[in-house]
Amino acid sequence: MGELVIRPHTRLVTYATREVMPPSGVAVTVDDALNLFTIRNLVNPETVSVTTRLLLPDGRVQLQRETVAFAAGVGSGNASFLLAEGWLLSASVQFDVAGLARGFVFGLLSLRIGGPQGPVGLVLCSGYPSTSQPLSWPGGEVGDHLTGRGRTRVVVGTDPVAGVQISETVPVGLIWRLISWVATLVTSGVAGNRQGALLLDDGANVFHAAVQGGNITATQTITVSYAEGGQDAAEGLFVQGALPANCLLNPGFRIRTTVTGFDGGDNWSAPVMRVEEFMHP
Amino acid sequence: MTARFRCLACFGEYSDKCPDGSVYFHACPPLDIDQAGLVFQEAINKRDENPVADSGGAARPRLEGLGRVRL
Repeated sequence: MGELVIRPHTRLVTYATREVMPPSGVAVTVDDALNLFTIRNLVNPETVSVTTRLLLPDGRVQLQRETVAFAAGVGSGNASFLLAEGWLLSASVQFDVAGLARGFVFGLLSLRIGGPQGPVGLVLCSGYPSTSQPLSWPGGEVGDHLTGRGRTRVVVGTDPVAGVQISETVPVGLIWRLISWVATLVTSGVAGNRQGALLLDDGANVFHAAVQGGNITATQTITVSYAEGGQDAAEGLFVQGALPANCLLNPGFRIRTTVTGFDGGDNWSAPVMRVEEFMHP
Repeated sequence: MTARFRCLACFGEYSDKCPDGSVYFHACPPLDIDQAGLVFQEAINKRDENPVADSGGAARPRLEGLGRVRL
């Protein structure tokens, strides 16, 4: 085994800085701006760092780090930063907090010509950054808000009073892919079959009705579920229906129940939904 | 901190946070006109907590409805 030798390092590499080809295809002027557009649904206030490396005309490499703060909740916005004159070598967008998963923020980092309000000259990178996987240029992802995986989460909805159907609305600024839905229906003593379905509408028009795989009779407590990849079935205290594959629902779309033979004493629980969430630009 | 509310328009009960801490936005269900639920109309005094920006830029519920009470 060799002995570990630690040597002090000195700068050996120099660059020609005049009359040479630029080392990057992205030249920026003092009038250009770096712009970060974001859409978010955050549990806590968070910050991201936008880091750039710029080769200046005198051959120095300048590191620029900007911090963008976000409030908790749903929102969108732009943050712009002026750059020095030179050539852009790299850029990245990374969360400052440890352990933040993909899907909370959609970001698009672009170079705007002539200032923050100018036209987009180049999209550098876009997508859903996480703590461990920042957005980066060059060589990083340039995806839209539906590219790749979103954030899977559980949503517990409103518990309606007896005689009222369940209805959940996709929040503003978000897109949900409905993976599964479950609720309990307690039927009154009024005789008769209850045949249910899960309706999907765009706020005005029903575009899908997923039928449950069995009737529910009086004085029952039945768990009703629907799932992507599920099938119509009924067994004991459970009935199930199937959701359409890749069931993407835009903001304002609704997921709601309907039951023929529904009695005023029938009572739904709050629904529990598993969704994959994306941001809606 | 999660709080639980009752909507005074539809009387549904809900928490203001989902299990992962995300904000939950209650919106009252529509009223079915036909038995299949394909024809429906929005309830009078419907509450919709999806945020919209007021003239000052602050967020407020899209529709206040009849309000809500904390349980």
